[in-house]
Amino acid sequence: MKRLWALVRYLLQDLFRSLTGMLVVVAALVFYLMAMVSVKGGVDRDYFALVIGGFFAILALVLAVVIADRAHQASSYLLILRLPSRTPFLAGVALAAIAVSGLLAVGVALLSIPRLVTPLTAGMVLDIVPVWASWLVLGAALGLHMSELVRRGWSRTLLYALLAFILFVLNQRQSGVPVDLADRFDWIPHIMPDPARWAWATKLVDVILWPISAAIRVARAGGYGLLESLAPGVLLLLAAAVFGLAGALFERKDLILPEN
Amino acid sequence: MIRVSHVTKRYGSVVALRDLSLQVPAGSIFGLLGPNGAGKTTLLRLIAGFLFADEGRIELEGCATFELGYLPERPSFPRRFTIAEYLELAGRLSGQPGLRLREAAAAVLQQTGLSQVSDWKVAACSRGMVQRLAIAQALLTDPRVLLLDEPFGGLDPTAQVVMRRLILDLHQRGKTIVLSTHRLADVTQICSDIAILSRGHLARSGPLHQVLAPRAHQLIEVDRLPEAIAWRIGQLHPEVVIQDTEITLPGDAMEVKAGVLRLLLDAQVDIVRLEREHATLEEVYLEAVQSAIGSGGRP
Repeated sequence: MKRLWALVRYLLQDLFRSLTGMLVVVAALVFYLMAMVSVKGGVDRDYFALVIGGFFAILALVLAVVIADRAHQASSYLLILRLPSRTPFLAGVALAAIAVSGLLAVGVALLSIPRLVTPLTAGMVLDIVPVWASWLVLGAALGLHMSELVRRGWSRTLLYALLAFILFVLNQRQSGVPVDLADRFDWIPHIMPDPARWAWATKLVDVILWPISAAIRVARAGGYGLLESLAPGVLLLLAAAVFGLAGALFERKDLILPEN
Repeated sequence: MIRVSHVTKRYGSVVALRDLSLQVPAGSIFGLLGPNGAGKTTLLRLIAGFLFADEGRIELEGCATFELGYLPERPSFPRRFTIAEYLELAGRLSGQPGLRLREAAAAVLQQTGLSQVSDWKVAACSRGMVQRLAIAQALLTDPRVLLLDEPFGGLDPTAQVVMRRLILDLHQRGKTIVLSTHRLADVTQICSDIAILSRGHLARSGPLHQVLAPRAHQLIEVDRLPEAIAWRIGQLHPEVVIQDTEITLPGDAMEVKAGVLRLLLDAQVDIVRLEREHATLEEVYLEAVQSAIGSGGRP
């Protein structure tokens, strides 16, 4: 743990001693001004939970890419060599991204409380925090795969293709915030020659995307059932699997890092 | 001991190392020699665990990869960190407790002559200082095995002497040191064992004295050599080479030596010097590299 803490400290120092670190803080402030302050009549709970959570999950992803790419240089050789295995190095990158995006999310959320139409209750906080945490962790884990540090062969291209496909499908409907993501995949059977035989494909997508749909429902409405309360946990498990895959790719990768 | 067994490493279509096998004895100073692109840095990075062999294996006995000390060919450090900050980070990542880390950092700063500039940022350091920081971090955890890629690069002549002494001192403390260099004179002075690589192949390897021994010859120097004696030696022993007052006898043939010495002593020629000479490392190196090229290395 001490090694991991030292690594996270180093990565954060390296980030915030550069212009990039300042840009991250500026991005969070701009987001606050544009998404929270400029909304007339205040913000409701749905908006508060989903927009802040969504933005900082994306920021966690971007930060993981940025921090990993800053670490993708020859000066990291001597740091990686000192670790018993390479995976803690990736854990440090992910933790640094989660720490920064989490702190900024908390900061923006606290600043935005006065803008809430209905007062924030302890129950709402308990609903929102696990969902946000799971999104940030998943964002950071996905970000690792988008970095040059972890990329092996076509791994990054495959991930981009998958994300592009999901975003494309999500944009098929123009209605506001998605609730049941599986609904967006109900076209799958209809492009097959025998739609009845392919109905299982929609069900499969439903199962795969259930944690995200359920987490969105939890963040928006609260008062969820036992099954939905597991959604953030399932997302964390998914994030752990994504991180594990990144670790496996990085552990056996030939490190040829560029000189400064 | 480091054992490299049948290691092949490719970068795409380029074969950097091909079926390379060698052993680095524990406690030795092992010199890796070879022209640019021979595979020296690749081999060191394979040992350090930055690269993985496509075929074959590398075994480190009594030492895990993360316990190695490694000096890269072109060391690079975070530019906005001070020398002291960097050493503290390196120590913490190695799991050293605070007090021991401070003592170790002070010791390596002293050894490398960086004590006075430990609060300098890396960005403000000269190339020589960066090289010394690289040495300092390699020594920080008192590793049993040190991999030094071009350790004399970027050092001024004084620092090179200090570096040589440091390597010899580390050797006396039982460290195993693998160093790659183009400086054959340094290898002759400090290395106990060598390997010469050429185009990814092992051209020569073994203890330095053994690598040089097959080219041993003997030299007899006299104060003056009468022409008649020189002619007589040439007649009896055509393999002997005579240049002015120097008579070179190839190999270890005792009969030839005895015959030449008898002729010289009978003629009352004053023998100034008689010694066994070895081929220089430069000669062995050139021959090894050229024969490897001749036998067909990678294109």
